[in-house]
Amino acid sequence: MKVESESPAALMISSVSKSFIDPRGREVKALRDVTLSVGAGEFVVLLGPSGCGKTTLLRSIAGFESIDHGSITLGALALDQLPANKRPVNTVFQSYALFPHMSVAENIAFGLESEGLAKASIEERVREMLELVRLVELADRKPRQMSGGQQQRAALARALAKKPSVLLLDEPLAALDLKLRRTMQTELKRIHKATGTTFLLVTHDQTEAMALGERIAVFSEGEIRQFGTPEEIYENPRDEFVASFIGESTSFLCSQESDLLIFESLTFPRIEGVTRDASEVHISVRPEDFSLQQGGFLCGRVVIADRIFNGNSVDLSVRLESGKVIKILAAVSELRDLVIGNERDLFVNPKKIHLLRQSGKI
Amino acid sequence: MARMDTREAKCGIRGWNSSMKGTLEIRRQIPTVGALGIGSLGFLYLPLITVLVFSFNKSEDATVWGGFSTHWYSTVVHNSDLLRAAKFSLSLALPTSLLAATLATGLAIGLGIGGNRRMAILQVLVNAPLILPEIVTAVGTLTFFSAVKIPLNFTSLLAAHVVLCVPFAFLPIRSRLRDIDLSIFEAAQDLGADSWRVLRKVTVPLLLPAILAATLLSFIISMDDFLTSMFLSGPNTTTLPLYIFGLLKLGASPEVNVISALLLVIPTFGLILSLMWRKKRGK
Amino acid sequence: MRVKRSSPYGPARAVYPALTLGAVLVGAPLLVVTLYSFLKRGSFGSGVVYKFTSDAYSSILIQTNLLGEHSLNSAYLGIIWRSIILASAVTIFCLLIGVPTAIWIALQTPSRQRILVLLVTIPFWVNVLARTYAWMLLLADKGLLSKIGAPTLLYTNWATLIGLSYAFLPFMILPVYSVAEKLDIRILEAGFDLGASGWRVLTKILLPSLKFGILSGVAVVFIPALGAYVQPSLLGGNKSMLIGSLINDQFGESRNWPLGSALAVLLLAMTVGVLSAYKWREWTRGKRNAESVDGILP
Repeated sequence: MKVESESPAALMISSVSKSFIDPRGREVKALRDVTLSVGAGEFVVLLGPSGCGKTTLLRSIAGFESIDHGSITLGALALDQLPANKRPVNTVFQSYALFPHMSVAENIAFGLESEGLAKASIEERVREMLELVRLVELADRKPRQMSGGQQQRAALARALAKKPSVLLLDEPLAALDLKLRRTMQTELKRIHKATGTTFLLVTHDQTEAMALGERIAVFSEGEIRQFGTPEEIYENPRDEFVASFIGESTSFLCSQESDLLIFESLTFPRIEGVTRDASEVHISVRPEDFSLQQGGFLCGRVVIADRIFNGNSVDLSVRLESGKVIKILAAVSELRDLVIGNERDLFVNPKKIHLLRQSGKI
Repeated sequence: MARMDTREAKCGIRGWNSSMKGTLEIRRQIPTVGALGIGSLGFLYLPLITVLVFSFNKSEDATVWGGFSTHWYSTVVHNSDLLRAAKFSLSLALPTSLLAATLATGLAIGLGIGGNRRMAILQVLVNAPLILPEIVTAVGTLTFFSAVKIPLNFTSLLAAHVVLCVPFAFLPIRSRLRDIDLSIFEAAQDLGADSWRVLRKVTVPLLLPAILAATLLSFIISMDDFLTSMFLSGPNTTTLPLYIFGLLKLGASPEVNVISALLLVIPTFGLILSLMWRKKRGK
Repeated sequence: MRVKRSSPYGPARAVYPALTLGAVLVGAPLLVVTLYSFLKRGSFGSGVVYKFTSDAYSSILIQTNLLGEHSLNSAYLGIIWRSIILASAVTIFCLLIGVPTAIWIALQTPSRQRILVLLVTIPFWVNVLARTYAWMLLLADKGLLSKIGAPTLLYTNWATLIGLSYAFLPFMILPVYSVAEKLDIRILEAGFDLGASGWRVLTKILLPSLKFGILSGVAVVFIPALGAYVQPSLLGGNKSMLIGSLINDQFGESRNWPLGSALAVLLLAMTVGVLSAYKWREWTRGKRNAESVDGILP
């Protein structure tokens, strides 16, 4: 019997591992000892490049993949022991997977019919859902008669009709064009607030993750590298993968000399967390934390190599003596002084230097 | 060698995609496929047209043209033996086609996405009538019935026909099933449906055109079947093809001309009708 | 047998009826006919006596004349040999006519292709008896082809050859066509561009690309042609018997069920042999695609 989960419980993924055998017969570890705790009503995003395991985790929660080790629980309910059709969890598929031979209203009603509800209540819930996603006029249309965005909303309404404890979304916006994607992101947030359901969304697009997620789990090769709010992840990336995956940054492998970090012709201040004995320090800095204007810490001299006007900002490439190129972000107001070939001073915001790794003495 | 642009210039036909533009040149250069192609079509249709024409032959000597007449058509239509055999074949083909389509649907559904080795072997057995010469399965079935002392009657013939038709019915159903996005079925489960509900509400409605095609295919195969029906023929199980074969053995005759012409025209009409109907549905 | 795997399409148990039918009405018959081939001939015609013997098989190889002398059974062996030759000839004929036709169709415009494929398919739907009868008309003593000077071919091996080729030609055309229509014509253009003659492009580029379809076609023509009955019976007359007619005889007039079974088993063995050659070829070439040559066998 399906558990009535009107009061959302916390979704706990504990030490989940899963392996596949690929066509060549080799074992592929899709999930390695993954632990994740999702609070009730949260909007969590699983972010990562393709093949990193985020979709596998989502499908395991939905019940389409079995797990080899670990457990998935929803409050007191052992989710991983239930077959997919008995879990109070619903999915919005990447291809929408709307039933082509049914109208939108029939699609939405499908999940409700197996619950043994009275016809009138089903109709009412369907109407409620149609209003929620703003598809009321299209209730009797078949999926093939609708646009991609409309189909997406229909899939959303269908998945929310049963008022699941957790809504899983598998790259739902991937097939939409940019403008529509932005609109749908706003819609998703609105619907999330309106229903109060826990949302778990998978994407490879980091801007989408930052826009939607209350917390983001960054995946790579079957593991979670970092789990935190967008700000935390952006400001304090825990390792090089996260740093390079979220936003842009340049990393520097520096040596240490009397309280300074040296990389080729540049110097950085020794930041907090770097021990005196560290001989190799790996740091990263984002483009917007460098500047050619006075202020901050003077790193060294660079030559302006290239500039691209972005409308509201300028992407600059500056070159060191060795030839290494660093990307920095400049304001439009500086445009006049940015001449290719000029030598300028490079400054850095010392508070925005991120420590990635450090290793001991020689 | 001709360059791309001259090839495109030579081709004045609009509406072809770019890869087709070279074909005029290619056809000219690849040795004489055109003549053979048309020739083989002629080869395929000459006999059929001959039969059609000669079914209207007035003379009693089937191979000598004696003038146009529909006389023999009325003879054939009033042939009670023929009609009886036809009725028998119909009464056999109808249940065969329904059973074969049902079993084939079950097969396609149950096999899902793959199975263990035992399933694979059984699957090969089910598909055997497709691969083995029909005489092998016919002999096998005959000896089997004899060993287990099953009499050769309508029911045993029906069973044999169903076995013959299932692999043919399976093909369009499996092919259609594969074309459907798997997520649709996952979505049905996700929304709480158990496997029977998925079958009833999602799988069968989506497979319906393929199931109909499978039924039609089985019907035709059963109606047309000769070898198995001959081997398993009992005292009262004369199918239409068996009756016709008996006539053919006696040599050419005007009745046979007419019967053959009918055997030609009816399926052709049926095929064209079904295509037109499919075109209409597609719109 | 418990079905552990579940199917997303519906209850996995739905597969049982068909599988049971297959086991009972295909598997068991194959076992029985093999059994029968090793039994003794029944005294009153139909049936067998349950005594083990390899008489049936040895009689295929060896015949004994009235004097008790043994010699190679030229009649039976001749029939088998002739069937193989004939089936091969039919296959070659279908290759020579069918492959160019398939290529020709693939080179047409898409709408013309559809019509042509339809035209090729229509004869398939016509009952084999009617199609064979048509050749009876054409090849008969006073038949139409005799009117334009062709010799009377009815009741000869040639008639059987023509009748079988006619019946199986669509089975060669369609598989080759289905491969040909998916080919990118630009590989041919590339061949021409690199200076190859039409003949070279054909043999070095086009035909190898069509190999998959050609092999399918060969399998679907050769195997049924081996076991054909209708065409040899109606067109070949009694002079040129083939395996099919010989088998039918044993269950009819000659009343030798073990022999008929043995011949059927032989035919089965030949079929399995040809198919195994295909599978072996597929494996040694490291074909890892999911679809096998016939799409049926694993």
